Amino acid sequence: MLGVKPDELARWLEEFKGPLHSFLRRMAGEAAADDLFQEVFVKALKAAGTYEDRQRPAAWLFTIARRLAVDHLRRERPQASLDQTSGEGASLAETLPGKDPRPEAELESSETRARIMAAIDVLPTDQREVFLMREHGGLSFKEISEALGVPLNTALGRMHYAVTKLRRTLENQ
Amino acid sequence: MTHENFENALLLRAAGELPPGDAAGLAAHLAECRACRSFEAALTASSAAAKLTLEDPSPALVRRTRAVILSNRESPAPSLPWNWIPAGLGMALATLLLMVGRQHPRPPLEPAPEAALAQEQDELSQTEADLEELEDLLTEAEFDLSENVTGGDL
Repeated sequence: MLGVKPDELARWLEEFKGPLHSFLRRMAGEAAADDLFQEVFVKALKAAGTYEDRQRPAAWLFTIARRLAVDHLRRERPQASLDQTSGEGASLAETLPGKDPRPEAELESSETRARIMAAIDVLPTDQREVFLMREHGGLSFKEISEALGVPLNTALGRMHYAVTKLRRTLENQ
Repeated sequence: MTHENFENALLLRAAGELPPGDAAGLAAHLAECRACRSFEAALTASSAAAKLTLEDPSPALVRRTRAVILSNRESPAPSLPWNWIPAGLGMALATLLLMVGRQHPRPPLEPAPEAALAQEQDELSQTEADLEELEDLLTEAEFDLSENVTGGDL
């Protein structure tokens, strides 16, 4: 069956809002994430007639989100490198907040999150997108390779590099 | 299988995509390969770390996006009788006027006195008035029809 109705898309918005917005934040940056998030659903509405119900909604939406993020990065290329959207060359201390009035446990948890986000942000784009599509979107490697138009082994290779680099970065922090 | 194949198999297993036939071979390799066990641990840790970075967008953004989506709902189609009534009325009126016209055929033209000419002139004016009225009715019926078909959106 082809097509998806606005009511169904509204349900998917609720279901995937966190993973999609987090994906866009890490791929395109905080400033662009909100606009791109809305654009995902505008594009989805326009392409609603082409949706096939054999596709998983997450794979379909993440494919749209990934295209928008890549287009955004291409437009921004003169200002920012595709490979490093934030924090390159900056020490972890520079990427973390200074004095913070929040309770210690909350601060520690937010510092951990900031460390992880900084480590993800310094991954090359092709590895970052595979890692996030897998870990945020829950896409299978087959779905990721289809979304990216690359062989399955290429998607697996990029994930392997991403995991290895993340471990190294987080261990060194 | 090469060592790289086993690492790929670990990724596939984590994603639930490992062919069942490969599971036993992978388990045997893991038992004796320290590098693969280390990679498996890194995979588990990075997956847990990624979950910590998940964050919902602001409620305002979700509301705005939902409004955009739901504004694309189709308006309900008008019911069939309302659709056809104006068109049907127009057709009925047109048919009626044609029948009236046929029941009162014009007399053959003869050299006529002035009174007959005046009567002829009156009949002609009446026919023109009838035709104008018919045109008005048809225009009105077409307008009603387009209003019903488009739901008045255009």
